Amino acid sequence: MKRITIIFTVMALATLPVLAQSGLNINSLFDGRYKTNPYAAEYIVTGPAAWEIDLEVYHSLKVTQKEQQDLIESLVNKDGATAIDKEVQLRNGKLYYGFYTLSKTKKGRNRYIFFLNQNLAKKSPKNMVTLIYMEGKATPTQIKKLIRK
Amino acid sequence: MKKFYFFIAALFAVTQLSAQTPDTVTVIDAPRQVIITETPTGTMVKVKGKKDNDEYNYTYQMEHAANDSIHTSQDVDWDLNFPFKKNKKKDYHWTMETKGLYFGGGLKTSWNLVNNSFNWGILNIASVNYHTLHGQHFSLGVGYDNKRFSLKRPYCFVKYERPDVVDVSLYNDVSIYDRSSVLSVRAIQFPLLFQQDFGKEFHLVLGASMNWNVYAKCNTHFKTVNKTNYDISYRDIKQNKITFDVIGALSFDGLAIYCRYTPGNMFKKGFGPEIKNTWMLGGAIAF
Repeated sequence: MKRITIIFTVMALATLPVLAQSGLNINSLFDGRYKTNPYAAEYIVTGPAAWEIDLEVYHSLKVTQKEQQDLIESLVNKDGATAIDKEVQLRNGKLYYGFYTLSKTKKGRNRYIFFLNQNLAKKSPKNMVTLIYMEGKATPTQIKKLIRK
Repeated sequence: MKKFYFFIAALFAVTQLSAQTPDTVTVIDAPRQVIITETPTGTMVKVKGKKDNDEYNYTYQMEHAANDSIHTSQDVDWDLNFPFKKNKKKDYHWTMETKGLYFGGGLKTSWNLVNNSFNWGILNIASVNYHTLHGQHFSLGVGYDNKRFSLKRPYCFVKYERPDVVDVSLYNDVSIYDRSSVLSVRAIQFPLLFQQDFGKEFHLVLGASMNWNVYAKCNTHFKTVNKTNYDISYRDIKQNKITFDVIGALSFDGLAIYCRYTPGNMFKKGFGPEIKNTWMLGGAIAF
């Protein structure tokens, strides 16, 4: 997959989205390692564009490398174990999708992790694992409406 | 098979909650099929073992309590949406627009009696644009342009024998205060422009404009020693009806600096001084 890295930085501090995931296992994935990876695409949205949909941080990662996909799944599972609410679906013994609501931040913002392994899709599987970290006042229902077609 | 184990685990958990003394309800060793059905009021689980053997089939119905938190997941594929695309404006090839309120001053003109000049207008009151969707725009529009040329102090516009010929003279002796003499030309302009985008906000605009000079006036104003105001206007003058400008502009986020070059003479040949090769430089908003 051609590398696509789009970074919307409206807020001055580019490190803010990274800090937002601190304390989570998936934080290690957002350390910039994928910026030069041709098999990954990383999106960071903060500022007004995110505020419009009641988020402070939208940080997503799409990866097509198998070993990286397994790593992401294992880290998501670790963070998912500490989630206060979760909705998961397994296919063939692997995580197909997971929607985790984490404990709130100190500022009272909701935190969510979404994971989707499209290799396990039934109709049109594709070699893609997506991880999205979201933080803001959006409710789980809002989040699902936003990210699901 | 795994579904069955999940079911047994779930069943066991439910049984733990509903009764203090859990007991085995049934054991189906090799389930052929497990069907879980969700309804608004509850969940039904059917376990099928062997065909045509009721002993290997089991059905369990669980009603939801009023305050239960239920997570259901339909076994359908997810298709992800990038939520920020919704705010993106759809681009069209053809659009209409209004743009370019500009104000500028004269840099240079061929006639050395011009003290200063002023230029303002609206580049496109209305225009038709074609956007390639790859950063290039072509537009043809209609706008308004006004140019003013004021003479150096000792000189003023006058008319002598022929009423349609504008000439230049020194002020008379009595006119000693507030002297100004201005040629004003108003035009309906038809700019043909090319715009190249550099990123989202930065644009380069190049083009030409045909000016239909519909109105021209020479106005001389002065006061005499006894403070009497004189305001003399000549409207019946022979301006060139059609002139052409070359336009260049750089814009950033709606603000622009522009340059206009008018090679043609403002007056028809023989009907006034030669005011040509005029350069204007200024700023524009809503560009």
